[in-house]
Amino acid sequence: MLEKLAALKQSFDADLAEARSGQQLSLLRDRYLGRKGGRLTLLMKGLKSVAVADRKEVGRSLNQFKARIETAMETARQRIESESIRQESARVTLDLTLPGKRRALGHLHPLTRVRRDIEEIFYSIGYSVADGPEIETTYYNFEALNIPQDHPARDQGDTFYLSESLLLRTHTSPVQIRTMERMRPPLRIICPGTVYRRDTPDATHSPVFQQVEGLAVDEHLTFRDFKGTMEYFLKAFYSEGTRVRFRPSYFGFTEPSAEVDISCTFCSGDGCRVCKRTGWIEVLGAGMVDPEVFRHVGIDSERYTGFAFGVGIERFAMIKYGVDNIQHFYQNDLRFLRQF
Amino acid sequence: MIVSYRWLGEMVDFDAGPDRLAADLTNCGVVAEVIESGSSDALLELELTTNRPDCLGHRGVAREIATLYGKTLRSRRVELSECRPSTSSQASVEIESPRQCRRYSARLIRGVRVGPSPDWLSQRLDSLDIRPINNIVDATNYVLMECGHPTHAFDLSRIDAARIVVREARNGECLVTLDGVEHRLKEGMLLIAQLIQELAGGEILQGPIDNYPGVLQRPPVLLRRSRLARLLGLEIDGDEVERILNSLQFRVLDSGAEGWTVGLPTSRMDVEREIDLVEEIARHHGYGNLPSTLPAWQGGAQRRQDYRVEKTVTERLLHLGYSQTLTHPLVDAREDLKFGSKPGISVLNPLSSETGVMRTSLLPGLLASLSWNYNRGIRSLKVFEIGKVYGWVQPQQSGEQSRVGLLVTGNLEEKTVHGAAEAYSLFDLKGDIETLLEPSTLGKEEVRFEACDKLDSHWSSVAAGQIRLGDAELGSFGKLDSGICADHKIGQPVFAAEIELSQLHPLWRSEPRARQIPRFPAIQRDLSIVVDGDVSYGDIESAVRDTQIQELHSIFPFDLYQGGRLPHGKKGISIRLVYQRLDRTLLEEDANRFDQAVLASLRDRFGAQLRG
Repeated sequence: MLEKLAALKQSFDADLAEARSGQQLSLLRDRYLGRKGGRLTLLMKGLKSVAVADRKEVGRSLNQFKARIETAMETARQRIESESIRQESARVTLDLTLPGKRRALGHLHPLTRVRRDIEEIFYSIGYSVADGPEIETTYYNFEALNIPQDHPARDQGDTFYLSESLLLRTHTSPVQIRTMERMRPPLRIICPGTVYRRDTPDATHSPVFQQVEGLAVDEHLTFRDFKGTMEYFLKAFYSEGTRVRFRPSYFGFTEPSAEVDISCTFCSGDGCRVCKRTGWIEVLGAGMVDPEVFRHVGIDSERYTGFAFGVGIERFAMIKYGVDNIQHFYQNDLRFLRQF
Repeated sequence: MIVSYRWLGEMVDFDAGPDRLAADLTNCGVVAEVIESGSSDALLELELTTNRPDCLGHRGVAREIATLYGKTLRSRRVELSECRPSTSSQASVEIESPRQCRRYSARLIRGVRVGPSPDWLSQRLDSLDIRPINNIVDATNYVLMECGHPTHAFDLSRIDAARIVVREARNGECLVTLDGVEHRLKEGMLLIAQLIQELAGGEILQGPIDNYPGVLQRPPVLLRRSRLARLLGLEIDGDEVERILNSLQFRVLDSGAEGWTVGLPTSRMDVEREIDLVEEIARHHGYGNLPSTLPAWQGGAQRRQDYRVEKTVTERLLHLGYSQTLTHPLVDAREDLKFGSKPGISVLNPLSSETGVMRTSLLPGLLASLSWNYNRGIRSLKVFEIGKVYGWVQPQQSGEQSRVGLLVTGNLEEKTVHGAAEAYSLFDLKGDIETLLEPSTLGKEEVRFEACDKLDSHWSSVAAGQIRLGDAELGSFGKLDSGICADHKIGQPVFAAEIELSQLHPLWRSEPRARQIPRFPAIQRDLSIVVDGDVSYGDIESAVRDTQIQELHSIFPFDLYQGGRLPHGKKGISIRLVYQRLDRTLLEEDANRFDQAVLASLRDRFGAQLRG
């Protein structure tokens, strides 16, 4: 019996060495382990005729051999498989130039990008973000901001009214007033939000637009702090190399007031069509808070000083991204939005 | 306002060329641009703020220039040779409404000859875009351009009873009002008389008529040194302060340790408080010459209340492939009513009827964005908007709420070499909402999607439902009514959702807490059962959860079938159950016991059969 087993081992090793395909392997399996005529199967069936004393040892040898066949066959199968893959890939090369299966990316609206950038810059220098209603009273939108009853901005032609005393806010300044009523100085806030003006839509006007206004009130704030803050903000938003210019201007709720310009982002200040050859682009209006505004909210203007500023988000986006028409922001043409 | 460079040069001696002058004026608050430049003259266009009417004439601009360059403003010498009789004996001026007209002055020039103006005058007016008419009218316009004050010449023979009456308009008449800015008026009166005589001959009668009922009292203002330094953050030299004030024709009445007492000229009605004087000093010292520093800050900074919700929602939707849109909150009332039952807040003075109400839903705007793109050939779209909706809470009390709206249409997958096209389905949208609302920490309440028979009519009657979190209603989702889509000429299914942002605060209120990752393997079991056709998967899942098996980690349906060998009215459903313990490896026997408990619950509840 053991001699037969030895012979079988030899012939199996030889047969296995010759197997080149999966099909040959399964034939080999049948030949040795097949249920009916497998050569090892037959040997195992003959175990009954082995003397009882030897049966245990012979049985163990047979089982060991069976296990060896299984392992060897598995190794051979893997070898043959990887070889066939190698051969196959040598024949058919993948066309890696075919486009991949792409997933569409969602795009953040450019005005949200700008608003977030502005919020982050001011957050980093201690400004909290304040919120307020878009439907406002005439008091918060006008009176409290030193805009008298007969001012043209209060006209039906410029402001949307919902009733005699309610309107759609024309700036986010009412949020500043509400904050100053609620909180005592020192304070630093910015108020981003949607505002409304009764302008007929064109390339630079929209009846609905977004603004960020800011306010700082403290005991020792001066015009130099105002300048420094605006310079820090504009350089952080546009670029470190941006030059900033301050010119006197006029607003009802600030004095001294300033119009703030930056060096033209299109020609770096050399002069081009966009900046009308001046090298400067007007970006925001600002100034020191008028004592009259402090009086309205009961803050002592002899003790406290402050500055305020207002930024048009659309204008910032137009300058930063080179958008030539404000209407693009609200048409939501995907070909436009996908660029951001 | 257009000014002549040469004319300005006649009033003040300065060296700057037109471009330099325009830049310097701009830097002191009088925005100027050179619009024409020739060999003999240059023209500057001024963009004036409403507080500076004093720069509506060349003399006012020249005053700014004199201050800018430290020069002296040349005063004009006007000497009249008068003759008898006196003006007041020949004509009179009456002011009926002194509130509108503080002062009215007049002079009489007798024996003028009306004719064309000399070249120097007509050319000067022409260059400033004023059409020359005749020597009399041109003279009044010339004075206007120099002093910035309107003057009028009347033919005495045509004035009824030689009497000028200044009064408010009656019944549709033109209003005659003149703002009395006395300083310019006085200057203008002398100049006009002289000029008319020079141009048209005649003789000037003695003395003016000067009717001045509204005399202005302008008390002097104290400008404190300490206040000036505190606002500007810089001590400005006292001599410089006085030079600026005097040059701008403010009168420094007194100067002492505390500051300066300043008299206010009527040419600058915009200046009446200390802060206004501070601005004058800052303006002419130059904003650019003031230092700049970043102020220190002791306090902290807070984000806005809905910052976390808005950020999380936006981030997740971007990951899911949604692009953000922004639309106007002012919408068409009829369109808005299709998306709700309550009419929105109306604007009293809208720009057009299409923008007459405040939206009550984000969906009309999203649909309009879809329509815009659809009509431009973009058929597959995934967009969202975060914005407010508005409504009356009570009469005269408005409410505003933030929402997020989603809209999906077209293909999830386009046809490519790798596979066929696949259209968006309701369950693609539902999956997106599930992903969007997945809490980062396990919330107590679960987000549920439920059919609802009281949904608004803009939803499809069969493929829409409510989204709920506990007792709170988060919003609705589903397929939009095909009629509404057809109104926008969109002939393919459109899926949408609208969710109240404020209701999402509980989902992300706190920072995530890390929990232990299971160290022992889970056991996964698949059960195929047959139930009546009207039993929903949700019912099955709750029946399974009701077994309270602590080891049940997850449950998920992976196959659903009807017909075939199943009896009519029955459906087969296969669910995958995953069991797990954190403290030990589960045994097969444990899993068998759980399976039996699950099956028993399903059998009791729905008469479910295990499928062989």
